[in-house]
Amino acid sequence: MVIQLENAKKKYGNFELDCSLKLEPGCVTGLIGRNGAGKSTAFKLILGLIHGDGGAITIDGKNASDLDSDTKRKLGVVLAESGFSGYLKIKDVAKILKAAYPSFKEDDFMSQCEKQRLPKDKQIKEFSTGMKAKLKILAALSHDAEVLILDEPTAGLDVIAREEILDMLREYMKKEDNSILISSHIASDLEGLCDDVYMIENGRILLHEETGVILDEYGVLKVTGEQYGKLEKEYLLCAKEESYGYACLTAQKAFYRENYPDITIEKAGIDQVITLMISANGKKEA
Amino acid sequence: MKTLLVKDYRILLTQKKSLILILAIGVLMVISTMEIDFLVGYMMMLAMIMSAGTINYDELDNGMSFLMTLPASRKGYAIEKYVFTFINTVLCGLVMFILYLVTKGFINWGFETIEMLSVSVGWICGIMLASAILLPLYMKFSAEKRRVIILILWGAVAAIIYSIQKVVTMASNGVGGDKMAVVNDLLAKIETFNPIVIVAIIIGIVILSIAVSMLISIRIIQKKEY
Repeated sequence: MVIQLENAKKKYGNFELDCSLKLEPGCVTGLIGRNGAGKSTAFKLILGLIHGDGGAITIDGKNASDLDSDTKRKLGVVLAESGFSGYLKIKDVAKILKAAYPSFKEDDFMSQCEKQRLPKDKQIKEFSTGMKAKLKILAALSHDAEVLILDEPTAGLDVIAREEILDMLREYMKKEDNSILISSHIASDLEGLCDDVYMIENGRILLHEETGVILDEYGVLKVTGEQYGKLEKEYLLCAKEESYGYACLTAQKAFYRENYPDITIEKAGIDQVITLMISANGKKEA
Repeated sequence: MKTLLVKDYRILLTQKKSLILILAIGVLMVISTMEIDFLVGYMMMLAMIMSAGTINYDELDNGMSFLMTLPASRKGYAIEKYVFTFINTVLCGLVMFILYLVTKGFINWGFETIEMLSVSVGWICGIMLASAILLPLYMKFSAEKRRVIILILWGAVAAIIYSIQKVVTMASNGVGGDKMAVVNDLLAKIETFNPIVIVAIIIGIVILSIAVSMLISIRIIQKKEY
């Protein structure tokens, strides 16, 4: 199943989302950005929860604004600030999922809940943040969905709970052609999970790159003003003024390592890439 | 539809204690007044309000966003609320009718079975008419505004019933002069109609109202953003 956004637009006052992205079968694609960058808006457009102001959004070739039930059954969804009513209990959730998804296996779901130490007879509103997050993931995983659409599934969780959830997702990806579209503002979550990453800021995609390429080929050059003046700038993505001179982001770490052996080159993680891209982009806009 | 119905009944079951309390109040009122026709209306009205009230639960903590990702359409959501309300109202009417049949051997309710049946059907029509007004308003407005709407609706229903009763009483007592003569003529004409025709007209009005109301609700839900 392919999910595609082509110049999908949505306006909210001064904020405008204008975003293109694609999720291929068998891939884990991440959407990373600051709070308010447009991640949730993009997800809501994909799920048809809000009406777009332009562009095209398709799921499996169908228009996202009028998805039929059969297509919806192929999706497992986790939303950051929404879920089953807090007045329900896990046994109620199981009955609802059973009615919604023919492939739902109640016994498996209940035993997974037990394994994750989720109380069956407690109302969801009494659950801890971690318990609620795990329940949302288990519900999304419970019906053999072809695609998981996960908006900030690890938000507000401690390291252990986050790792448990990421493990569940890695297990899900063992099945061929399953795919995940996941958003987060925690870069480390995505680094260990995603095949490719889109970086979003102010409603625009700043960068789309394979995670492996970012981790292997991207680098941060830390140079003085003098070194910066002599630097080949063709392979620099952006530069940020620092107290010592400049921090420059490049997607050609090897080139600079070979041609400028004296300068300091650090490995760039998603966090460094997004921080530099955003600050450079902010300066450009200013 | 099935998913949403299961979800709504599960939510309704979370209010077991309130349901039992409401039923107990209703029974106490009947014991003190011996008016089962009142209990029928009271229970059905509450069934309707509790059914429509599941919209409040759906919307709690942005719940509608997630609900709309389940295999159900916006149109399906709007229609389901009518179906859910209708099922509960009719079920309530049926239970009350059975209660009447079971107890009539040892309690004189002052109704014949056929009269009790028409009371129940009359209430179902009245409640469905009220739900045709209530459901689009519930779907359109936020929870806070809904409370005000409920109060206004209760007030309007009470005022209409009171006014009709007053006019009919005045007309039958010959009070009010010429103006009441018009009402008397109208009542006399209605009495000459075949009761089956009157029932058919009432049911037709109810069905038409529900259909129009449902179309309005579907448009409201389709325009909403979650």
